Amino acid sequence: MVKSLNSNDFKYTGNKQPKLGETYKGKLIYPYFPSQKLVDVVNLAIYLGRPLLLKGEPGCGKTKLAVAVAYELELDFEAWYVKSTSQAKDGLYIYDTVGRLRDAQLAASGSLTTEEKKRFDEPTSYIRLGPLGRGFTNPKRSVILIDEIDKADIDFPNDLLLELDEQLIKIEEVQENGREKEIKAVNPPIVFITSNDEKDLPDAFLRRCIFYYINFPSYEQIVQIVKNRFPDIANELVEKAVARFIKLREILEGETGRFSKNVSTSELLDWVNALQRDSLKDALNKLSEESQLPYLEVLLKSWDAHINYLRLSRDDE
Amino acid sequence: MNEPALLELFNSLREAGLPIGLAEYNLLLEAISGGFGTRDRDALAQLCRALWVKSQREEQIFQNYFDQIIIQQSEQVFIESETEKPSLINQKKQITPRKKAARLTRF
Repeated sequence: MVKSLNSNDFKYTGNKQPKLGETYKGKLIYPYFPSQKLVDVVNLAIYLGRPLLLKGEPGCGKTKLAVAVAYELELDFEAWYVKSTSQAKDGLYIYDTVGRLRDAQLAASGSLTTEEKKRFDEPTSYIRLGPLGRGFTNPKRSVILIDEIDKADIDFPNDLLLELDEQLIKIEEVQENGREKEIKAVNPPIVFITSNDEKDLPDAFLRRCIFYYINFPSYEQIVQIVKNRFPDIANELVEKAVARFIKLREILEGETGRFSKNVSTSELLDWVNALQRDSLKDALNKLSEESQLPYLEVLLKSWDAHINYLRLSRDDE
Repeated sequence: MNEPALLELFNSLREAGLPIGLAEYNLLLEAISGGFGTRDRDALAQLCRALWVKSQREEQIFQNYFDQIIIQQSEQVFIESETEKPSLINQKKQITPRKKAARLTRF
């Protein structure tokens, strides 16, 4: 196993929080409040040099953890949002074969400038590094997020194993001394991987990862999240909104049985935002137990959920 | 290796079908020697979970065996020696070297 000697220098605490509207590496970031267990497991993954696989229902903070860690440890951040068509190789590098072919033709007709000619003579100049590739070649240690790995083909995680394990990229298109060119990680990156459990991940891959299941935030944690996003909000409004949000989640959970369709924190934040447009008195009135939830369309995104909610909330009375 | 209870836990989990091998066992020892999972019994459970358990189904199996095998008295289980290498004392579950060797040959 490849491990950096100074891996002990990096210790995540979860205590350093960005200010409202602060950006990091060009991205807007928000405070993140990890549990002590999550902090421990992040440090474990850093210490062992293994990727940390995070599962948990939408809105529990899987994706946001990586950038929060990068922010606190002041490391560079690379995100790779996996798509259904993603190939493992895309994250490492893409070889611009078409560009090279174009330059070859232009070179043959003598219409390349000296600079372009120089590029053409150097086969490595057509390597376009992907997020993993950039993380590997970065002289500084970086944090890499591989988001929603279960979206891609079943072979995808296994294809990544070699690179994650050996921290090595082989460029097939470029030969050096009769062998494929190899790029070795300068500083082993800290890798976070998220999965929504849409597909089972291969055993061989799971064995290489540290695994952690993030629980949905508690009432107190959600209140904290909302207050941090909207610092000027009235306490009464937050408490009432969160309480009704949690009740709504319980209703829907009982019905669908599957948490994957349930309302999550991002919808809650939109909803609170909508509520704030009313005067405090109006908003509180709308949130009172007797009335139906306002701005349902912000919270519930499927017709089934709507119908279920309306039916079940009537049953409650 | 001075952790008979951990080895027993590991073997039981393997028998119960968790896809873990010697590499995962060694990884646990490596983490423990790095000071992880040594605070108390909960911390140890959390460490084992992070390294060995990869689904909610496995989690139930794990919790079951962990409760059975790793004894409750956390103060007695975890004794930090002067070298800061935690040792896990569990006399009841002591495995004789021969038995341990027999188990290891299965990998």
